[in-house]
Amino acid sequence: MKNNLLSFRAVLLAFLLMTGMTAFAQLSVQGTVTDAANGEPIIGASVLEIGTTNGTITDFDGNFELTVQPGAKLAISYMGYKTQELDAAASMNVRMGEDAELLDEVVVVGYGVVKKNDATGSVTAIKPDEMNKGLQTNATDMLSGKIAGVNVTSAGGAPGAGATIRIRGGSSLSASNDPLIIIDGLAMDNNGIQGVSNPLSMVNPSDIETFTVLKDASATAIYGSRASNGVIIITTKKGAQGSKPKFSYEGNVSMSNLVNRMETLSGNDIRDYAAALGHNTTKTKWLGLYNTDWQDQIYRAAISTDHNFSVTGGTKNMPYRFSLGYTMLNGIVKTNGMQRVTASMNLNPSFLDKHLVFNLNAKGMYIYNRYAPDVVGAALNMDPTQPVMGGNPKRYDGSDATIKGAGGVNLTEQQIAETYFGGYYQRAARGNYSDAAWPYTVNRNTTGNPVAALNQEKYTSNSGSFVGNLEADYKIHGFEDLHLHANFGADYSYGKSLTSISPYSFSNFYYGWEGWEETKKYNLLFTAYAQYMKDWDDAGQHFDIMAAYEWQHFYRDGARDGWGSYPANSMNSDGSAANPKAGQMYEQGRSQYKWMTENYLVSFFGRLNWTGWNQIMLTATFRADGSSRFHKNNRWGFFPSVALGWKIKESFAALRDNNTVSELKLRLNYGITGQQEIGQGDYPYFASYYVSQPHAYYPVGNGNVMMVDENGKAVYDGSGTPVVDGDGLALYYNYRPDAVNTELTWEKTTTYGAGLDFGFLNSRITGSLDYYYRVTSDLINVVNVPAGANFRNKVVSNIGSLFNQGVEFSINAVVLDYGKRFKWDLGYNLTYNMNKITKLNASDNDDSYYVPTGGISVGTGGSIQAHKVGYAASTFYVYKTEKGVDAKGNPMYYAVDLNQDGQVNGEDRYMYKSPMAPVTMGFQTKFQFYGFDLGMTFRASIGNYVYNGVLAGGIYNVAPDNVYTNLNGGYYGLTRNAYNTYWRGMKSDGMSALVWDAATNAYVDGGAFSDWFLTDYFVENASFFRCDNITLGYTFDQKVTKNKCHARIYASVQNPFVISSYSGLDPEIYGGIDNNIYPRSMTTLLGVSVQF
Amino acid sequence: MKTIGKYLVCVGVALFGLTACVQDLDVEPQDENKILDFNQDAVFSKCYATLALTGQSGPAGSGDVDDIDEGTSAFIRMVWELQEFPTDECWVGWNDPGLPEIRTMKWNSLNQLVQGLYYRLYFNITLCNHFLENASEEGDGANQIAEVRFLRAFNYYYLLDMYGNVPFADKVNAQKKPQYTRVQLFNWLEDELKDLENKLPATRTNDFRVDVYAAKMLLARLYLNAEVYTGTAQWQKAADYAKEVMDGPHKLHTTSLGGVYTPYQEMFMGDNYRVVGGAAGEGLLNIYQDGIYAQAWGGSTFLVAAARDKNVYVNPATSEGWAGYRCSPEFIEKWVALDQTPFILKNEFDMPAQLGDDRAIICSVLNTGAPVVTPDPEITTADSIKPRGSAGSSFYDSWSMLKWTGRYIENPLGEDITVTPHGPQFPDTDVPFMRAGEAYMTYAEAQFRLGNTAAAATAIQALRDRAHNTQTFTVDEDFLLDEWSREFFAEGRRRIDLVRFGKFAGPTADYHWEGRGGNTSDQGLVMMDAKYNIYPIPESDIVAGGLTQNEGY
Repeated sequence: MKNNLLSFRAVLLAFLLMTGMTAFAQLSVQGTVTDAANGEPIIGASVLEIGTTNGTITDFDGNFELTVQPGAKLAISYMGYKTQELDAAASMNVRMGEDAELLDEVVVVGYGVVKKNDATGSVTAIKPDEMNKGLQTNATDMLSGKIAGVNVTSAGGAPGAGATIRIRGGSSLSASNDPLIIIDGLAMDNNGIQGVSNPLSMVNPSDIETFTVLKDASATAIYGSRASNGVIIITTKKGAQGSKPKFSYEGNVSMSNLVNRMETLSGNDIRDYAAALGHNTTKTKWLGLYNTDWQDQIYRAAISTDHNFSVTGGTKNMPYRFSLGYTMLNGIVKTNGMQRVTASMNLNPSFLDKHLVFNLNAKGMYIYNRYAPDVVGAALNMDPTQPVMGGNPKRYDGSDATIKGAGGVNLTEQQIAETYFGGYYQRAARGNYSDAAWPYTVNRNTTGNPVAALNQEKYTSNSGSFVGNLEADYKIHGFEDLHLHANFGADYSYGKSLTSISPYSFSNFYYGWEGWEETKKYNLLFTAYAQYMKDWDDAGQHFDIMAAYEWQHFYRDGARDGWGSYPANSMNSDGSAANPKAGQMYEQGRSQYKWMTENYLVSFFGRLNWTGWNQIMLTATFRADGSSRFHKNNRWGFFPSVALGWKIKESFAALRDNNTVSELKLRLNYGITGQQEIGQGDYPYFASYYVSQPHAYYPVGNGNVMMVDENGKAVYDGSGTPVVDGDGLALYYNYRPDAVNTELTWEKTTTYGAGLDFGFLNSRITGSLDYYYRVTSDLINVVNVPAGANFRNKVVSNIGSLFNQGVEFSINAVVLDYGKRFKWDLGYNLTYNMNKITKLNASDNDDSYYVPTGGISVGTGGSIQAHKVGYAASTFYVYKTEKGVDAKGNPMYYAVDLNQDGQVNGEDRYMYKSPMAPVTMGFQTKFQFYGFDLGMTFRASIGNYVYNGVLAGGIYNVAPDNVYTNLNGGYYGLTRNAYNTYWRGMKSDGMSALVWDAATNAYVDGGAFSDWFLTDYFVENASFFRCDNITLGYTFDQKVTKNKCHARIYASVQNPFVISSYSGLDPEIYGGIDNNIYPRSMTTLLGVSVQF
Repeated sequence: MKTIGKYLVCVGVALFGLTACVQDLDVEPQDENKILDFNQDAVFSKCYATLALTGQSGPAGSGDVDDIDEGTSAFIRMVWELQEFPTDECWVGWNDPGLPEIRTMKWNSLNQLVQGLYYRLYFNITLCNHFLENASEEGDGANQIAEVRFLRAFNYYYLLDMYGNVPFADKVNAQKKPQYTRVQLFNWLEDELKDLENKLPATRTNDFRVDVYAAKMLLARLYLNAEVYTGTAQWQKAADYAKEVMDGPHKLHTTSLGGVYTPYQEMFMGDNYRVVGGAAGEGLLNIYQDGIYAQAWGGSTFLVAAARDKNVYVNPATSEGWAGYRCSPEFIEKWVALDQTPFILKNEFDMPAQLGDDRAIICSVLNTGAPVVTPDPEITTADSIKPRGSAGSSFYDSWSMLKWTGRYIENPLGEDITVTPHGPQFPDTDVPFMRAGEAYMTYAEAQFRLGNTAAAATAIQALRDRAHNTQTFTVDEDFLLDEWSREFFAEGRRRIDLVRFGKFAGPTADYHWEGRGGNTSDQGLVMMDAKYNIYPIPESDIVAGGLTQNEGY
């Protein structure tokens, strides 16, 4: 935040003070250095008597003392701030203004230098909020709700869970909608690997200096090919030149609790319900005698801890920073947790009188994850009348709980649980393994015991990543306006997941499962550019031009294997002898696979900046990108942009000297960006064949006999053993031609934008307002092709278009400012975005065409959303329901025959609401009172809709026909919500159809409607207001710490509440389909941060 | 000058580097699963495999057809569902997308199953075209080419039968495909198959490849339905080709191989390749299935598992039981009156004995008498079994069709398995998608239409003898239509027969069955528009291929 006026005052003050004190022979200077924008002390600022080596640095409260020659000048400098040269005075109060040029050079845009004040595009840079951050273990946590136009939705509450980031809505349908992420100049590959959900999780949040989000065409177009969905640039912290080593430690310990859980029926409630339904003892005897709360059984309070340590400093020519971090994060589902170690290094040596500057970054990370099996839903569906361990010695009706086994031998449930299910209760059924030692199995139609799953299924992953780059910048000797820049970067990641499942488990009974899957990837980058800059300060003219070349190589490979085994105690079918295969691998289920893929991007680009009369700014960029994903003939995409800025304040004399309006700038921009993250592999234009994998062979062929090596792995070089089936029939592999599209080319998004930056009252109030309109054409879209024309009925093609338009508004204000005594800051941002598909297939006006999307797990599946022309992407495509009464006068829901053809079928579905919120808001506030600080962050989302799949699935289970069937062998657990909803008028077979009777021109009851779970009844308004974080901190006074250190302690509560009318657990679900997400916990945290 | 020289060198080096890097864009796939060169044998193998498998990894994971669940996308299952579910033979309680509309004859051009089969057939045809464009006649090549031409014709036959007026492609390219009328396609098929009579081998070298009799059988089927397809009946040609098959090497399987099951039952069991395969086997086009190496959810796994419930079945040698299709009341009535006194059964295969026909492999598994055919401890009630049938949502509202099983020929009746199938989940049961029995029924019907009732009766008697059915019968239209069902139920052809007899849809179709038009049996007849005699062209191809929709849709 610039505050030139204040800086000016400080200079003036210093000057006046100085003039009065020149008489003294030796001058003892005492001073304070503070940030002009927020008044916070600047720690470690360098104070140097010019022309000498006499100097010091400021302490933790920004104070310094220095004895100098009278008339000396002091140079006060600090990284990121404009260096000030002041005449020494006995008492100095130096307020440092941020150095826009320097900040821009380091942070704001890649590929060169742009003065922030001259920026013509919509660029938002934020520094992580050190005061109010709560538990941040992933960089995405820091972005959430902070920037207008940027929406972050986490995948759930599991440690290390990924998040979806959307900038200004999604510009693609089937291609990627993820923004480009650049870490210290290295453009990352967006594909996650085991244990690393996205590139942002490769950086320890405490190493991050700034986030910069580029949103509009002019800012992003320089990244051309990959920037259609915005760019997030992360710059990590660096050392400061000529500063003493500064150590910093931050640590916290936190506890996560499940605060919001689904209310379920107790065992007693289920027994009452069965009685109310008039179930006879044939059914009710399967009820247990217990009242197990399965959610209590799977959730826990989880303790986590996070420690970060860093050293920052610098010799004259070698600033450095090293950091180490350790994070142990436990999930609220039992057994679930993650541990992470991170290390980072940054060196900035400079040579040749700072003409040659290097910037070396290296970041390493290791993560161990243990995932929980998917038990969140099972805990709702599991019968609460049953115990966790053992079986029912007596059933609800008092009878013995005996299950019939092979050969007429009956065992009690208790015995079966102890012998066959590892002690856990599971509903048993007769086995089918021809194995006398394993006569029983789990009843696959019941819900598996979630506690057993937690303990019998182990999913872990080990992942490591390395991100490093070396930048060199050379200002040509004697021609300093021209500098050459090169950047070499690499990121390497490795992840391996391991699965180990007990043969006693519900999921892999009898054979168990052992498996692994690994992925390796690397990404190499080379960028080189030359930039020429010229300033004519007197005329307010600035000119720079840059030309660059970039090369990137993305490589990925992976492999997996997995198998079950015959149990060690396996017998033959009559029990007379051990199974000869006992303990051996069970080859039927074995699944092995190995793959690799790569792609290249080569780019040439340039940029021209011109600032005229310090009033008008012009930026023009042009980029040409070649992608190896497209055929030679349409490989190159050309991405121009132009932006215009007008500093209104500087243009009118009345405004120029007006403090009320401290900034007023208008920005206009236009540009084209591209997309080649097609989501269809790296070789869509190759006519190639895909060879058949295990379990997909056929006994017809000649030369293509299937061979395997000694590990059972397919080999195609003819060296292995031929594969024959159980009857000795030779098997052959086969080739399938892949669909091919040699015409495929870049998807292009054209953006038009306008924005206004403003600042009032000496920049106490600042903000911006932006409008954008983005049209994506040549949409990379998987569309139907004419039958017989290609090897698939759907081929990735460039057909279709959509647009997004929106408004972004953000404002920050210092409401009250009494220096150190009391300060109150407010920040607010609002985003409005609307998305509409304008073309989907070859036909221009085909009203009936839609692309189903949004698969649900309720009923027999199907999809609940559709892409359709005239509507937002992924709009809910549902039956319309109406509330009415049935023949008996009971409340009833009807699915309406919208097209009035006398039946309710697929054609009656209509386009309803969108899962994306049109309006989102973020709100932050902070109070500082002497040493105390209190910060709060909130987010709101208005108008997002969610399909409550948990409720729909639950209702299915409540129905008298389904809560118990003799086949399912027991009762379901029921949620209170589903139970109550059901009694509000759902019929056992769902709803009724309300069909149009042409004879009477009226709607009549058309009988049961079986697709009730596809109705708009379950699409709920899930607008919400969430409190992300509340932090109360205290910073120790320097008198207490005796200037030795800077220390702060804080307590934070994260996710304390969410307000929503949504009836499910959590309204915040990316994609809008609620299928039991891992609950987001409330986390209470105590932390300390010390610098010395 | 010196400096300039240095710069020039630098620029030169840089340009050279850039050029090299631009060449990096010319990638070639390095993945060992992705192959750039045509391999005749491997593509030939795929042409056959499309009948059995749904993609490149079994049982699922890399499907051939888009916009449909891969398990459902199987050739067998798609043809089967569209030929069986809208008919009087069976009822399915599933609500898979598009299925309720198929069951109740309310489909439209957006129906996912209508679309799924269409694209499955065109995928297979495109693959065959690709093979034929690239194959050479060397070695086995001439046979391979003839067989792939047959496979293409076989796929086109189902387009002719179910969709009528479809685009015709014999090359793989983006050029607009002409939309053939049904008559045009019929003529092409007739010419193609007749040409293949001289090109296909007389004897097959492998149980799962075809010989010339497959083409003759398909010609017989084409002529039998010629009136439906072209408006002109060709009964004599149907009879002639059927006779050629009857006189050919593929004989009715009449003697039980294992001595446990009837010969008829043995054709639908786990090791049925022993009776439908071989040079003299009854199968004319056998589709291979294997519990380990050829896994698919839509092959015999579907046929076996969908007819049973997981927890209530006699061990069919699969762990799957999906509670899907079961008998309609109209189908049960082809064997026994619905008000018949309850039966007491010895086992699941006891119903044929009770009804005096080996083919009546139907049975309820819920209310069976002892010995109990279920592992579920609850179902021990010794209720006797009553014929019944209703379109309720429960699988137990009717009897099951137990014709398809994964058990082996030597396995004893009852619960235990002595010969273990190759895998516990996917049955090894191969699917004879055309078998010699069809020639007998075709011959019988064609002769009846030509007025030779006696010749018809003789052919039918051969099938009844094999089924140990000693009941007397009179050949008339109703009898023939019922007999087609008794011989071929659950083999994926019922719709063809109902259409040919004018009973499916249209003004003459005065035959009502459960679910037809959405009505239950007691609600009575619903007149179905004649358009339902063929399926619509999927909307997606109307748009993409610029096609004209079938009349009425």
